Amino acid sequence: MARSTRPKPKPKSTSSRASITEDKTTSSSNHPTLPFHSQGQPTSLPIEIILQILSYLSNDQTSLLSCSRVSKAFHKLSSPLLWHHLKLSPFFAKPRLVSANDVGVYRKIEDPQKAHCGSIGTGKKDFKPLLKHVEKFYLESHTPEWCFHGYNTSLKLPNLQILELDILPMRKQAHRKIHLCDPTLTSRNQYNPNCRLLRDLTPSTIILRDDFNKGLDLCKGSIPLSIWKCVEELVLVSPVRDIPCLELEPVAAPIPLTLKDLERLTWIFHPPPALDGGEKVMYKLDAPHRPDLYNAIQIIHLIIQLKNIQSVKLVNAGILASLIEENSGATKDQLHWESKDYILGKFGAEMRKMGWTEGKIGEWKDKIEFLTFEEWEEEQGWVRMFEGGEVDWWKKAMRG
Amino acid sequence: MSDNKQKVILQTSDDEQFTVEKIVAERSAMIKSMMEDLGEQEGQAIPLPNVSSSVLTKILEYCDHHKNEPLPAADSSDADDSRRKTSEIGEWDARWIQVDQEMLFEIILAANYLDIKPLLDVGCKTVANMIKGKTPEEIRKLFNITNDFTPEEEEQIRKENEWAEE
Repeated sequence: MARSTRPKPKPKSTSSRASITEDKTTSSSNHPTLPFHSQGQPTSLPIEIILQILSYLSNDQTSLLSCSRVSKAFHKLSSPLLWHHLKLSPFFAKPRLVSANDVGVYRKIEDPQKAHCGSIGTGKKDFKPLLKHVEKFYLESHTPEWCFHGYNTSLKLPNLQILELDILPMRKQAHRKIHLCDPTLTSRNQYNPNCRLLRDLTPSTIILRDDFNKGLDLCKGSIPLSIWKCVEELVLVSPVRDIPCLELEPVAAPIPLTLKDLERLTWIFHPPPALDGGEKVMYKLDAPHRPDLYNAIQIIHLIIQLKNIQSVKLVNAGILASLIEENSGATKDQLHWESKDYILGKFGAEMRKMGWTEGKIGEWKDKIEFLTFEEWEEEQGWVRMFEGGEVDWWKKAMRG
Repeated sequence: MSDNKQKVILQTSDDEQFTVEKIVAERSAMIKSMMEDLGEQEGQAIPLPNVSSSVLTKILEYCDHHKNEPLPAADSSDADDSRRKTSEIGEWDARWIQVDQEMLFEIILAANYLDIKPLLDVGCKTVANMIKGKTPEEIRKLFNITNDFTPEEEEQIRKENEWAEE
């Protein structure tokens, strides 16, 4: 008798969670004959379902912010999603690419004028979410004030896995004062070698966005060398339109010492974003500086330095062949094979010049995979690096 | 013919019995594995103590519509998958799931219990779309939760998010 009046014992440590799950058991299994539509007692959803629901909002910062204010349980569930992927952009309110999903995910870098500047990520109570949840960090270049203000503090992201740096020149922002360490490269965005946002980070994957039209040089001063320390995977993301610096030979630059242990390299060639404007330049087959040749040489220079490399993936390399006038009218498949043959042929030729044996050349060639966007998308793991919207946009641009 | 049209009897929480095609019932991974475990037992009803007849009627509509589609892989890892997929819902599904909120939540619970992954996805996406643009208070109402923050905690979260909101 006393049983019916006694309050239900509450589970100990999970009291906040229980408020959501509570009715689930009482309304269903204990009273199988009870009509399911019990008025005044709305159905509650268990925690794992709420989590799944919130995961569909992972690109919708505004909604997640609202969710984090609902209750303790909701805060606990939405914070990791809200902070999982931190994007800092000094200039843009909007992302570089046109993608509806992406808008609003950016956070602006703190305004140096504001009092709390310098507190970011330094363990100050207000920014605990950074320490706890950030696994991916995207940083565009920023104004110099950023590294001088609060220089003694630095950004710490102990759970960081992926660091994404965008060093593409921003045409529309060219008039802004950019954080430079090399004053001769005034048209480029550069990171300071002691940048306090980068110097203490140890990601396992680095995504580098650049067209590498001035050559691929990962050592060159502007990125703190310390970030390469733990990198196992490097993803290069290059928009392909043309080669503006025709007078330049591809740079055969040494790579950071610590990068020699790199295991996986992916190089993605994608159509330039619509925002970029600019007309597509086509090259004659016998042009001295063909973009496919230029890129092939860069790829070769990079991979021969990587002694422990397990896999090299070149994604959408077909777009390189599409810049050759004589190839106009070729199908996507033909361009794909054209680029593949060309790059592998070039690889073999260069290696022979260096005295590599045919066996060794063959062994290395086997490590190089050529993938279309579609094939690459089938692979596990890429999703955590790119948001679907961007890849969808690339695919669409390739189709039409 | 009779092989394809094999029937299964399902019994709901309010003791109604539904005779459905096996191919329709098999949309539920839970029922499918139950049938495999039980083997062929003619006329034996499968009890579904967590599902009411009104919800099952609705869900069977869904299963019937999708009966010829390939079943999702038993253990397709979901964390990555769900992030990749957008919150878009198929046209038929979107129309089908236009129900009151009580029914929607019950469909989700039943889909979870019956282990019908694509249906659970549709339900969760629908709720996600409902959250969009709502204030914390409106979300509380939607899920029937009370605000358990102290004023101090609310202030702390406001600070924490202030930076993100700019």
